[in-house]
Amino acid sequence: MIYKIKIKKLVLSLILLFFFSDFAFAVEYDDLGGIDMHGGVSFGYMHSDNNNLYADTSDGTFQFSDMYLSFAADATDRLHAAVQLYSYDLGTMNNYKVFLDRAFLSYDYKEWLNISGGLIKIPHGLYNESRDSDYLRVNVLLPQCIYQDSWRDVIASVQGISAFGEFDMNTAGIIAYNFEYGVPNIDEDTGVSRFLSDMLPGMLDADVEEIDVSRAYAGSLFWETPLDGLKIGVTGYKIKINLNTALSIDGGFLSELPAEMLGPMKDIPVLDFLTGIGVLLDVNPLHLALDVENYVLSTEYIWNNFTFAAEYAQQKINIGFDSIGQPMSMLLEDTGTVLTVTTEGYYGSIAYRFSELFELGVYYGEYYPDKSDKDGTGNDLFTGLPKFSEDNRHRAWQKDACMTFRFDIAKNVALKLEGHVMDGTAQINRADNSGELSEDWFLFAAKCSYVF
Amino acid sequence: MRFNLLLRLFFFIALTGVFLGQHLVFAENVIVVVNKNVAESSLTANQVKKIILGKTKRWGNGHKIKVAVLIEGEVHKAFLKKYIKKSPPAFSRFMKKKAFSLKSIPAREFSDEKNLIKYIAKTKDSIGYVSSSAKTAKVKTVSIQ
Repeated sequence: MIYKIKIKKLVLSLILLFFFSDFAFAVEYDDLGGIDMHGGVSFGYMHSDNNNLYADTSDGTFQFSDMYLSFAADATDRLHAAVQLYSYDLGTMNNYKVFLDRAFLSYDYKEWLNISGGLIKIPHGLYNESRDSDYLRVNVLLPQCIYQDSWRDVIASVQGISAFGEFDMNTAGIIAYNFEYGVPNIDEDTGVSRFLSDMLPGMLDADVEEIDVSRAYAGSLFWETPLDGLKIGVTGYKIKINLNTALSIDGGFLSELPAEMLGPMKDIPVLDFLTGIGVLLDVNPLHLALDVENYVLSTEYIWNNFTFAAEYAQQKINIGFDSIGQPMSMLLEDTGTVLTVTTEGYYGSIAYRFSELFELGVYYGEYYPDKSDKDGTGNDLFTGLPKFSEDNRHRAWQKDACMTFRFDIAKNVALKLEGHVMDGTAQINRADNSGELSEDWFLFAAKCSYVF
Repeated sequence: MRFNLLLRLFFFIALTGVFLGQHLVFAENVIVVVNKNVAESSLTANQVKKIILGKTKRWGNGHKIKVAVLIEGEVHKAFLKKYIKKSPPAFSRFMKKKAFSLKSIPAREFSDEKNLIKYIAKTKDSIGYVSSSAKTAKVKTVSIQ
């Protein structure tokens, strides 16, 4: 029933967008008062043999679609304005809520200095700026080791200001830079919440009630080298996120903790009873402060019909706690405790266009949620106990070998078919999976995109 | 024996087709045209590339450059091969990516050179490209150094 409603919505959206596309082609740019209008729609399907990635993929899912509509205009010779609306559905994430993805004014002082203010895109790797348009890339899923879709809202856009521009150094190439300061728009229901529930040890469940992002800095520096088609660069951001969460703990887990960790709690009779039946206990609200620092090293080389790309990323997350109530204080020594985890991801990709109709793309990427524990034998940050049982050590990595067939079946229409051979489950979210996870699994993804 | 002859004939026709296809692309002479208000009379090939790709955004007098491009045809292919060094699909995706960035008004796209010339003729500070056989009386041809 839910699928039927969603498909109806999707079909309606497609009809509307196709209608608008005809309108755009029919009406001259000048007749729109100098407003440039673009848009795109894509719908997809994912199916995995084991494990659910972002949605109920093991049963096959159509909850894998997105659409956007954007407007841009030159208000004056040097003042530019743009607005973009965006909507997507990815499993339980977003469910076709339409939101403002970008809205900014930009002043072009010189080619080497532009000032922009409003809701602006955060620079992250080679493809974050264009990630919301499926048509613009070869692959269906960007390498998740760098462009994790559940983290999309954290790095989508920032409300603030930026300075960007390009220095043309003639024979030495072009240096392009972008520096931003502001506050990201982060939704309580998506990325951070999913990250938190996966980061916490298995016996804890966190429901994020409030997110307050105090500041974000972001920047990029790219060098378009004198070798035609080769660019090298670095992007990075630093974001401070404050979270108020309602935390619950699996009582059954407490009975497995050593007596010295339980301290005085072991003498509470009610707790003994509850832990015996494995009930979830609500504990005091927990205030978390996440300091996220991310950088990505990137290179891309376009040579004839080949596109080569490689990226390496690290994300360091400092987690500070306070307002800790019982029984969390049994697990953490003091309020104000700071734990640090550093993730690591990298990939290499090659795409080759055989003809105007067909392009083939392959990539291989690896992701580690804790780069100091790549084989899953390390201890949990909270409890000091082994983080994973022997059967679940594959939670410590995810290796993804992907192959994509892209067919440009008509003007501005692309159809893509993609296979992923996966080893490990580090980016599989517990919230999407109820049973045991499989270490080796396969994901099929298909997407059809149209832009105008 | 007959099969071998047929096979040879097939390869001959295929190679001739490939050669003629290539020849047709190379045979197109492309010229760069601008609105008559543009002061520049000559550009280097590298300047043309930077203008079309949006790396150079203003003319020498500070006016914003308005770019017009073709989206198909042999003239388009020949221009991309000679100046931009990108295949038509790669160029198309580059331009769409640029439009998606929303940082500037993207190039105007035309499927035929007659309409492109019409646009250049009426739009101040504009630039585009057409075949050397096109009627260019209402626009200015720029020499390429």
